[in-house]
Amino acid sequence: MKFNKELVGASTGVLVLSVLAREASYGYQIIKRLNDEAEGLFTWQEGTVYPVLHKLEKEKLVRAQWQQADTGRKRRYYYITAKGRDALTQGSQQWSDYHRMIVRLGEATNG
Amino acid sequence: MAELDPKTREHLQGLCRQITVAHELDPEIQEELYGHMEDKLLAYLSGEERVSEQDAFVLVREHFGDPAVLKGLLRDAHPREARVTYARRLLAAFVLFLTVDVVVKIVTAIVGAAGVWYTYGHGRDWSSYIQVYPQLMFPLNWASVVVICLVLIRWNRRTREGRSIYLFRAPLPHVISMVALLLLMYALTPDLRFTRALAPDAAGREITEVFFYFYSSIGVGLSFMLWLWWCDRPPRTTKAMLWGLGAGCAWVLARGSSILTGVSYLCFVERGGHTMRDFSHTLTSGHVGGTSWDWFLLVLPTQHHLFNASSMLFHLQYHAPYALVACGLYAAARWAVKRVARDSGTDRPGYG
Repeated sequence: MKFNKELVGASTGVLVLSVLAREASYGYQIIKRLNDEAEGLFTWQEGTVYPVLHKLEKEKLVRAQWQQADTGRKRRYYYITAKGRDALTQGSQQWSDYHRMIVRLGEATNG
Repeated sequence: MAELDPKTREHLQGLCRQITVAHELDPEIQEELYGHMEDKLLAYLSGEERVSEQDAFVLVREHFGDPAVLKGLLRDAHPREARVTYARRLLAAFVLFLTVDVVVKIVTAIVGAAGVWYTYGHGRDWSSYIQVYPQLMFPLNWASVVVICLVLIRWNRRTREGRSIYLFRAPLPHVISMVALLLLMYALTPDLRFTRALAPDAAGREITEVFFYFYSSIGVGLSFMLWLWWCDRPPRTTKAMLWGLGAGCAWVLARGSSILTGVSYLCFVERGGHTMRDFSHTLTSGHVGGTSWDWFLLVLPTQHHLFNASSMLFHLQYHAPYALVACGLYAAARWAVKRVARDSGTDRPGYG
């Protein structure tokens, strides 16, 4: 089963923040990690990650810095900020509550 | 550190420029996007990045070339087949078959009239003429099938080249008028019949029987196969083929029924013949006997129906089996062609 686009679109910010919470990273690597984690349930449209990253940067949830990657090339690394971590905690909590509500409702319907 | 070809780098930079300049974005974003594309490209080259189905599709599409250009080139190489409805195809073929039938019937009438002139006009014996008659009619029937075949092949070639034929583009009322006129001509052309063919116990039976077998097999069987071949065109559907088959059968049977045959039968009857004995008896006021020939013009309704009844039986007896055999032969030939094509890997979709 594949996730629908709306569901993925609504959770993009939280997902990117989750990746960055583990480790600072740059665009290509972020997408790669997300796709690996998704295990085929969805595939990112690569170009769409940059508008999200730039929006998070404007909201000061992440900050960017040019630095040399493992490959030896200069890449724009993104770091999660303290505000970003708070947003991630809040977002994760919201998704978790939402998930629980759906499961509860689903069980009531099926049960 | 793996390096990209300068040309590839230039392509990537051009692509990033396109995105950023179009949206008046910061050059830094251009740089960031370039970095991403570079990483992706190098990952593909090193095999680190797996080629997904969508990626493979993009590659295939890109390698194949611009679809618009390709479309134009293919259109030049393969002109589109002239578009025509299936009903129009059948109608055009019907006009052709009907025209040939009318011509054959007229020539038959002329040959028959020559026979009347030869025998009655000069007081000669019928038997010599009856021997010559099949030899004249036999090649005529062959020729009619050859003509139909050549015309259909020509039509087929023209439509494949994207050129239309008159019967495809002519206004429908014109074509229908043409059909009506041809049917009228077919009905009004005197049908000269030699009832020896209907009199199996009469002298000279063998030659007339053989003649009619050949006549039917060539005139009906082969032309029926040609009709099926003409109907068997893309889009091939079982429904379309059944329509074509039905139309062909209807025409074969209609030719032998009272629907198309007119009132003007010039009938030559051998008095004392088996099948027409009662009929001859009526016409000659009870005087039956001898083996001399008599002739009459069929105009009376009763005579007309009586003759048509026998005529229809004749056609059913001789034409229907040949039409059936033609269907079987056509199906077998098509199966064989398809099998050969399948074995050689050049087969095309069958009936849908």
